[in-house]
Amino acid sequence: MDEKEMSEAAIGGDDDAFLALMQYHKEALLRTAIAFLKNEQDALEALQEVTYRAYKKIHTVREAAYVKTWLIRIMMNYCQDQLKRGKRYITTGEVDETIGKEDDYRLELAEALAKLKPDEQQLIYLKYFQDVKIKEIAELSSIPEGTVKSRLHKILRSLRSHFEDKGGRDHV
Amino acid sequence: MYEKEEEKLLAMKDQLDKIHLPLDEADEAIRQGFDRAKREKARSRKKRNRIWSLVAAALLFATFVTSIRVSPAFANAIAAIPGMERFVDLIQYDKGLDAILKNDYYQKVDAAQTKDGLTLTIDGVILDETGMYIYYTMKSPEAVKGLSIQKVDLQNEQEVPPSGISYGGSIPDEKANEWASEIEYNFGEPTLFENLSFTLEMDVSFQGKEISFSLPFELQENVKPGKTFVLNEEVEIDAQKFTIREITIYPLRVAVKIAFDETNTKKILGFEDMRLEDERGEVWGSIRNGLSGRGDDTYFLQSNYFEEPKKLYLRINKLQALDKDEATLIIDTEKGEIINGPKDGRLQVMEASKSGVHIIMHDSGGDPMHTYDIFTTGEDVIGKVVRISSTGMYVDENGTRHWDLTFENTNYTNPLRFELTNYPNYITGDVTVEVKE
Repeated sequence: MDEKEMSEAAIGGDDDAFLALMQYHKEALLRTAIAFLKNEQDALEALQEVTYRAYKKIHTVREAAYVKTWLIRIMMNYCQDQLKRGKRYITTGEVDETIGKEDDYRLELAEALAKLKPDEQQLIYLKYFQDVKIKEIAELSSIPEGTVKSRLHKILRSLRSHFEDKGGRDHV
Repeated sequence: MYEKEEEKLLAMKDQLDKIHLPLDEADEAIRQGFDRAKREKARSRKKRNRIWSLVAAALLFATFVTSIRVSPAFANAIAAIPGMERFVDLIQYDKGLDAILKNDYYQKVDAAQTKDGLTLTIDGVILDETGMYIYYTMKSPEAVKGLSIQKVDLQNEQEVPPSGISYGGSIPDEKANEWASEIEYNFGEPTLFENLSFTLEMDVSFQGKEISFSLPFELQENVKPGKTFVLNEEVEIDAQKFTIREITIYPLRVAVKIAFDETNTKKILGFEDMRLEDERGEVWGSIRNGLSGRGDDTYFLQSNYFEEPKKLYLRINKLQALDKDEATLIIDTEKGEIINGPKDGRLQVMEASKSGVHIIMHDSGGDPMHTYDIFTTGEDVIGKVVRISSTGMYVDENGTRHWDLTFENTNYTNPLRFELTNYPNYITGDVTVEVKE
C-alpha cells in the first residue's frame, strides 16, 4: 500500500490502515511535539492523545493527500493547549538546551516564535519546519492562498522587528 | 524580502531535525491512543444499543471503584474453584459473579490455539442473555510484555448483536510469560443462542507482529432465562414521582425499568445508590449505570440471580437531579457565555471559541479520580447536532473539575444547547419496593 492508498483506507475506517498511517507519520508527529513541548515524555503523551483524537475524526478528512498536515495540526493544537493550560510551562530559556547552544540567535528566534499567536506559530511551523505548500495550508484552512502569503509576510515582518529591537538594545 | 528571517528559521529546522526521537516508545503511545478510541467506539456504536453499550463503561468503572473493597474470604472462594485462581483479581468486586461461580454457572472451556509461538487459551465463560464473559490466558515461551489486544469479535451462526466490549485491563508484567484476562462481551439486546458453537476471533499485536486467532469453542449448557417481575409501583422522592415498572434478573445483571412522571419539576439525571437488598438489609446488587431510552429508563444492577433470599427489596435514597429549566446548558461559544444552566453558579466557561469550549466546575465534590462527562452532544439554534470529538477531563489541585471539549465542526449557529447528563446536585428520600411476582 502506498501512502495515498493507506490514507484513503484509513479515512474509510480501516483500522489496520489507520495504525499503519500513524506509524508512517510518527516521526513527524513526535518532532512536532518536541518542538512545542520540549521533552520526550510529554511528546509521547501527546502522540497518544493525537492518535486518540485522530482515530475519532479521521473520517472527516476530505483530501487524503493532506492527512499528514491534518495530523500535525491536531498535534499542534494539542501542544498549544497543553502549554496554554500551564500544566507544562516552558520558559524560553530551556529551549537552547534541547535545540543547541552554539547559536545565540536561535534562542532569540525561539523567544520570538513563542511570542507569536498560536495560529501564527502553526503557520510558521507548517511552512518552514514541515515544508507544507502554501496551497495545502490554504485549502486546509479554507482561506485563499493570497491570504496565507500575506499572513506569512506579516509574521516574518514581526520577527524581523523583534530581532531589530533586540539587536538595537544589544548594541547600546 | 525576508531572506534573513527565513534562513534563521531553516537553520532552526535543521537543528530540530537532529533531535533524538523516542521512536521505540512511540509505538506503545500509538497503541494506547488507538485502544482508548477503540474502546470508546465500542461503547457507543449504535443508538439502539445505547443502553447496553453503557454497561461496558460502567463495568470498567465498577472494576475501578469497587476493587478496593476486597473481601479476602471472597477472593479465597473464587481461588478455590479449579482454574479460576488466576482471575481472582478480575472478578472479586462482583458479588453476583461470586454467586455465579458457586452455582457452576461458569462453564469450563479449555480450548487453545497456538500461533507464532503465542498460545491463546479460553479457560471458561459465563453466558447469559445479556452477554458473555470470557476468561482467557495468553502464554508464550518468552515474556508476554507489550502484548496488546487489537480486536475482539465473537461469532455464532446467529448474529451476535455487539455493543459494549471491554477487554485488556491489566498490562502483562515485565517478565511473566503468562497473562490471564477477561473479555466482557455485552449483547446489544437479550439473545438466546440455539447452537452453542462459538468462535472467538482475536487480533493481537505482539513483538511487532500481528497475530490473528480464530478459536472455536463449544458450550455445554444454554442460558437460564431471565426472571421478570412486573411491579408498576409509583414512588416519590422530594416530590418527584417515578414508577418502577419491572425488574428482570439475569445471571450477569439485573435490569430495572423506570418511567418518570412528566409533571415532575426536576429532571432526574441518575440514581446514585439504587440497590437490591435482602430481608436482612444485605446489599446484593448495586447500581452500575443507567440510561434513558424511549420514555422508559433502564438501569443495571449487579445480579443476585442465584441467591434466593426470602424477600428482596429495591431501595433508592439518593438521586442526581436538577430543576428542569436548569438541566439544559446553553452556551454562546463566540461570546464565551453561559446563557442557561444550573443556577448554583458552579459552572464557568474558562475559554471558548467555535471549535471548542473549556468549562470548569467549582466545588464538584466527590472522588477526584471519578471522571465523568456532564453532557454528550449539543444542538445549535436550528437543531443541528454538534458532536464533541474529544474531551479532556481532569481535576486540578484546587479540586476544580475541567472539561476541555473540542467540537467536530465549527459550522453551526450560536448558542449551543446541551442536555446535562450528570451534575452533582442531589435530592434524597427513602424508597423501598418489595420485588415479588
